[in-house]
Amino acid sequence: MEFLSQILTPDDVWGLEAWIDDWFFVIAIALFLIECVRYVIKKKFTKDFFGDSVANFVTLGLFILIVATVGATYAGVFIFTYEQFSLVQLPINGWTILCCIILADLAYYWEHRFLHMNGFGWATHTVHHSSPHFNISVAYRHGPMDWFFPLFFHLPLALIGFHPFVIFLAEIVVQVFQTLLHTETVKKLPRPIEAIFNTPSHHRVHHATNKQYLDKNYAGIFIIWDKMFGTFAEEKEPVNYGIYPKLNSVNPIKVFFSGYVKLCQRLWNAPSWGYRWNLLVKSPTWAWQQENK
Amino acid sequence: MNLFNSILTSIVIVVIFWACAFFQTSIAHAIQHKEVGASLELSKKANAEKVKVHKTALDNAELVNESITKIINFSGIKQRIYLEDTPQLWQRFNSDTKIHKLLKQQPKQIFVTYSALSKDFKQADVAIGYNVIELSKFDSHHTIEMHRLKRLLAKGKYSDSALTDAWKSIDYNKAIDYVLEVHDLSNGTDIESTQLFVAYK
Ligand SMILES: [Zn+2]
Repeated sequence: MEFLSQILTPDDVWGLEAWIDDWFFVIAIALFLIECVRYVIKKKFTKDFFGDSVANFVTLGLFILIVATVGATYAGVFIFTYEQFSLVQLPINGWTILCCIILADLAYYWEHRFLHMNGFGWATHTVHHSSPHFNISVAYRHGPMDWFFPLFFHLPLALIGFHPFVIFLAEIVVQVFQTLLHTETVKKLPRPIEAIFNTPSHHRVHHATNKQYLDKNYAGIFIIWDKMFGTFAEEKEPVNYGIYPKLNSVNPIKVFFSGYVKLCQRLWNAPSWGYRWNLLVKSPTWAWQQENK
Repeated sequence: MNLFNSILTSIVIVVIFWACAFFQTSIAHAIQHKEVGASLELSKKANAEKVKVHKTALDNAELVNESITKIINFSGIKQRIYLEDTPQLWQRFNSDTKIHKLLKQQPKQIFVTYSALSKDFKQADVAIGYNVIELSKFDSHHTIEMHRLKRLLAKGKYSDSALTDAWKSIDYNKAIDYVLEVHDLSNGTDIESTQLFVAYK
């Protein structure tokens, strides 16, 4: 346990984060190729699957372009907040990183739930959900503003004294864990793991359009949050992936901006200002229900 | 759980894990030092000694550069640590290639400040760094206002224990802002001489 108390420099933490970021992508690609082989064997490697996967990586490319332009500002906001307003400055070591990962995971839960609960957040997060498939490449399917909302949910961690680099590392760890869940290859894991951690099974439920699965399992690493806060559903009947209404496109540009196009269309065609307001603050399920009355 | 209770619970969870991170060293040290009840007695004695010494220290302390306001900015690493872990932080500083790459020339001095001292004087924010004029680039920096400093040790070569002993001449009745060590270097690496100062709030 001694190594957890070892004091680290911010540079060490930054290095570790960059290392995970780079190498994990390589691992993810390898896992995706294994999934592809599995689909080929099962004769499920369709044209649509291929097109969808290509679209996923193109949205990732677009997302990386956006992050490259705003990344420094994003980091700057954290560093400024930490240096000017932080309550304390917590020592940088393994224990602090562990605490930060748990809290970043809780922040992730709330951010994720927020994205599902209003039209504004959904416009960007819908991109991730709009694939009718479920594999590692879907984990990399990002919307244009996916970098924006985490800012507000993780900034409080800087205020209470976690070094920005520690926060970024924790965000990456949650992200990496989440990415691994996007697979149909793993059915169910041993019960204790399913009880505590988010698993592929739990996350399939999150991507479902089945009624009993809607707006469930927002967790990052720990499914405990969902169980505590009453947003948990167990995977029982087979999952249909996607969103309401269906996107039916593998055109990357269409996929990437689909959320905002849909939101603008809805706002344009809205019968009243009250309805427009509701489109922004109410859940996308509400909008879907209004349109299908 | 409804939304309100969920948010409330989340806040409680944040407080718990924040406290874990914040008190981690205290928890660890409490466990480590449990058996050494005697250490408490020792520190009590030391405190009594401090009070005795501070009177003479006050007489000896000279005001540095009383008439001139001189400001030195230094930049390097900073960490909240137990004072007994200071050697570890030095090790970190010495192996921090990033800051050493930024040096424009052989550094002449190293500055060390101990600020935000805990009530038991066991913990502090310790910063170690170089004068920013010797650096090509720096992010954050710490400012020393020379006119606020009271000298505890004149320039000289001191052992670690002599440096620690000099802390006894601090006036603990006053609120301490920071304690400053200035190390003069030869060849850019070897500590040739050291001065010790204190700044009160
Ligand atoms: Zn989601």
